[in-house]
Amino acid sequence: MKNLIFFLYLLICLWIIGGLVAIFRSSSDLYNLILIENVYDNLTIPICILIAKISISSILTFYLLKFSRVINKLNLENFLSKKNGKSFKTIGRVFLYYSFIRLFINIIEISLGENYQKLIEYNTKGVIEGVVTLLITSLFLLIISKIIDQGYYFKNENDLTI
Amino acid sequence: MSIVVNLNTVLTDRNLKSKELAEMIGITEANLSILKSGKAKAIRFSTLEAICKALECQPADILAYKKE
Repeated sequence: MKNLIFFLYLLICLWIIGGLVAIFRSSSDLYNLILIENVYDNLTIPICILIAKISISSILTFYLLKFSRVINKLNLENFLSKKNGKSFKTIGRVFLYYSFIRLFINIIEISLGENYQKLIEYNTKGVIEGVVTLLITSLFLLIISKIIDQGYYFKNENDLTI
Repeated sequence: MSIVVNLNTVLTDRNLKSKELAEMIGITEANLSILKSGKAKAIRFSTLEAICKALECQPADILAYKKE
């Protein structure tokens, strides 16, 4: 169990780094779009999309950072606690909202056509695969949070059996 | 809960203290306090047996049903 948690912690740390890279990339795309490139006729929509991307990536990275702390301090002897259930629920919800927003942004990005996709080196297949994986992960996290909540209830009941 | 624990009454009748009973039946004072206060969700038959043996009484002397 300790090894699993260590690997999970490691993966979350990598994810945080990935999130920071995504923020940096979106920021540089935004910079290029505003100051350097002038190919696209109407820049309002791409700029709005990039700002939305930076915002949601920042929120996700912040919650991942919070979650990594929870994982790091996870008390295995008292795993079935209200605090753990709440943390898993929060991160599950954040992932769920994030994946829906990303899906929405992707649909807009696809509808903007090739001109826009060339502008920011867009990879349709890869991005959609990532969103689906995240959606599945978020649902699993929400299920785990429910299991923890139920476990906490049963543990309490067991503790009050004399 | 509609099940009432009358352990205090039985203890007073027997002139026993909670600490003594806890030692006799082999549970902690904290658990005995939970039982006495009615916060317990369930009671094991083994605990009930130990209490009845220690206090020389019947389960009905300790537990009662009270309509809410």
